[in-house]
Amino acid sequence: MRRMAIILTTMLVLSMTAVSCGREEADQAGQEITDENIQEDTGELRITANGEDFVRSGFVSLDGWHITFRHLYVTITDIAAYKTDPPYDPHSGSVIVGNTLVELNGVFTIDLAGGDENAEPIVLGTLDDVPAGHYNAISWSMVPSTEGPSEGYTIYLDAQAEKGMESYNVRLGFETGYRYSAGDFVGDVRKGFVNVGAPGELEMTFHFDHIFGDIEQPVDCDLNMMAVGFEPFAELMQEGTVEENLATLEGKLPGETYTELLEVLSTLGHTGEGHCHCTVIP
Amino acid sequence: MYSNPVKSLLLAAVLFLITAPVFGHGARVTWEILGDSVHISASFDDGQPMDSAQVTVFSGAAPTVPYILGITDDYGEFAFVPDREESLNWDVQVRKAGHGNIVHVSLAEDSIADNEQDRFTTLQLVLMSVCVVWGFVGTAFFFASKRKRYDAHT
Repeated sequence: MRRMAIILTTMLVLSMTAVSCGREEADQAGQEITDENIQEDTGELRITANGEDFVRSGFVSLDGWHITFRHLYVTITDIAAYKTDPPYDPHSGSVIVGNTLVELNGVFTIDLAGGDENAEPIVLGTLDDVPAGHYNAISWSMVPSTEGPSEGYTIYLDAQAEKGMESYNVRLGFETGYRYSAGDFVGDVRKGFVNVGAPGELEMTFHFDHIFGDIEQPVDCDLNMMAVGFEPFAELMQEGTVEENLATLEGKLPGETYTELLEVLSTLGHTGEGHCHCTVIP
Repeated sequence: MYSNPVKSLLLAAVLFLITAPVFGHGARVTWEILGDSVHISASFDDGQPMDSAQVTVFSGAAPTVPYILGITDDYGEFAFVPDREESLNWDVQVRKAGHGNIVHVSLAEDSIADNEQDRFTTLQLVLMSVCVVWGFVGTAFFFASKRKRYDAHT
């Protein structure tokens, strides 16, 4: 009897695992690189990163702290753009397999807080002579920087947080690496179309309001429900400064808050408003 | 130590839920053909409908130019009648409060069939069916074991 129970349980676990993996296998099966997919016409594809206006001009967190960023460094690498058919769905949880793959080589540490609220997205590079067409998926990794002010950190923010008479310097570093996979750009305009004589553009967008929330959104909206807010960080203030990283936060933040922070950090990457599939880089 | 099959199955289900992929906040957009029209259904990851969301429909003939603009109803749904002479390929973008998604709608017959099957693959359907059967088997073993013990006791 016991043996039968073990067998049943094992088979059930294996089958459930297979069910969850089935979609990934299906997504990859129909997409192969063939000669007929390679197009003769070529053009330029520009790769950009954008922290959006509230990073450049500041915003008010869900718990009423006005946060302005002096610097917000992220380090990005392993950038690839794809033409996929059918279009990649980040909800599938699968890796992107495209008909066409082009890569931007290099490691880029950029300051998303640079420029004013009207600043254009930061150009990381332009790929020349890529096959024309619609690049409707992008992937990238965020890794710890090896030099400069954000050395050791994937994300490093240098900010001022103010609420009433309180004003704190904030320096937070996050060490964890992430791999993001996104589908088509979602926003006011469509992106990723490369035509002869008309460069295309793909954007990696970072939503830092996910960490602190946004007082302008309803308190019970999805964004604010998942955000940590700034108050947990404010409670760690010493001599007018909050200076922490994930290693120190793990010991100082309540366990539940620290777990929420880890979860929300994995949701920062987007393409416009389009969400990403994210995996943590061990 | 006696192992209860039902408990084991429940434990397996819990393990599955723990290890299953977790999706952050986001928007899900699905589509289906009903008659001549394309019906769009949009919801947040938590299942809440994306009501009053901004909808932009793009034709495959001019994919960067909005062809239809509209908003979803209270149920997060939107419908439009595509001009099949214009194109058999359409993209539909749905956005609300910083969440958004875009789906590709192909009116080609094989693509429609693919979309119908898109929710679950054949493998998934077969294995889910097997799981349900195993659930019944486990329950049967549970009652069989109880009866056995009852018979032994009496």
